[in-house]
Amino acid sequence: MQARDTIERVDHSLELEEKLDHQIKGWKVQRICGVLLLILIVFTALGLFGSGILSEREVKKNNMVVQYERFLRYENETTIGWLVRGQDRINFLIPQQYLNKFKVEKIVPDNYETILADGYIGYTFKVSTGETAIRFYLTPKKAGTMVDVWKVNGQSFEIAHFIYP
Amino acid sequence: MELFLRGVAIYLFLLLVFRILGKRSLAETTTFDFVLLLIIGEATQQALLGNDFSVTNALVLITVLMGIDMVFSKLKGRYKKLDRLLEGTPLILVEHGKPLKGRMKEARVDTEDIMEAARLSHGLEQMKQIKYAVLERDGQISIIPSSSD
Repeated sequence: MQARDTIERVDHSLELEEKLDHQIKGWKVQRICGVLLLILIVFTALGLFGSGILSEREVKKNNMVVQYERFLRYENETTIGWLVRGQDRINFLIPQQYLNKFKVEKIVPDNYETILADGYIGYTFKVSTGETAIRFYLTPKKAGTMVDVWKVNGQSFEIAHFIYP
Repeated sequence: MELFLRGVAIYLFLLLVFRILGKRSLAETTTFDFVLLLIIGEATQQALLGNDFSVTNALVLITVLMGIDMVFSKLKGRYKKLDRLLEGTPLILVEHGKPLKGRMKEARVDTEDIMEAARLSHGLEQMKQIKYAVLERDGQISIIPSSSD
């Protein structure tokens, strides 16, 4: 309304279609979109598209901690990091449908045994006592929402991602 | 299919962003604007091509982009409302030597921009020598001098 009042009306002799009401509407939309753009920039900085406080997730259960990113981008590598204490054998069971959406680039450390079992792929690590860090380097191959449950030594951990195209 | 969707998404996104930025966003390109454009070009190229640097991929992508552009220009020719929505309409900024401040503020044009266009196109020295200054659809300012000059 304010813009409409401050815009001068012109009675001109030019052969042009000014469509002032259309212009005023356009400026209003531009202003709204400008604000939305700034909000988007702020949310991007906070991690809406990955790497930020909105995206970081940490789940703790007993002596196990998993850290991962909630928001991922198609074909942009991500890391799922595990910290396990006081276990001499760590067994991961990852749903096959989860791994269908990712390419496993690397698992560190790489001295693990693999088994295929009833819709899961199992990775077993033999460790000495103390704290063990295991990292899965994965590249998303499909866009969309995905929620799956990893089992680590019998404990269930829900891992949820949104993968941007 | 994925390549087609990438092309359409990038085309529509750029169309939207440059429409939001307004007509004057690229009408006068400063050195920094030029650098910014190069960076946008580079980011867009990676999003469009992904990891496929084959000639076929590039040719398909160019065809898709040109095709979308052709469809839009046909639609714009056919539907006036769409044309106005995408390209905007011209706007009078000066009337008989009087700058229309409200319009200039909304269009993000200042007196200096108008005088620069007046000097470049007609060698005019003062605002009062301008009959009409019009911000055209492409972001350029056209000047119609007063007939007495």
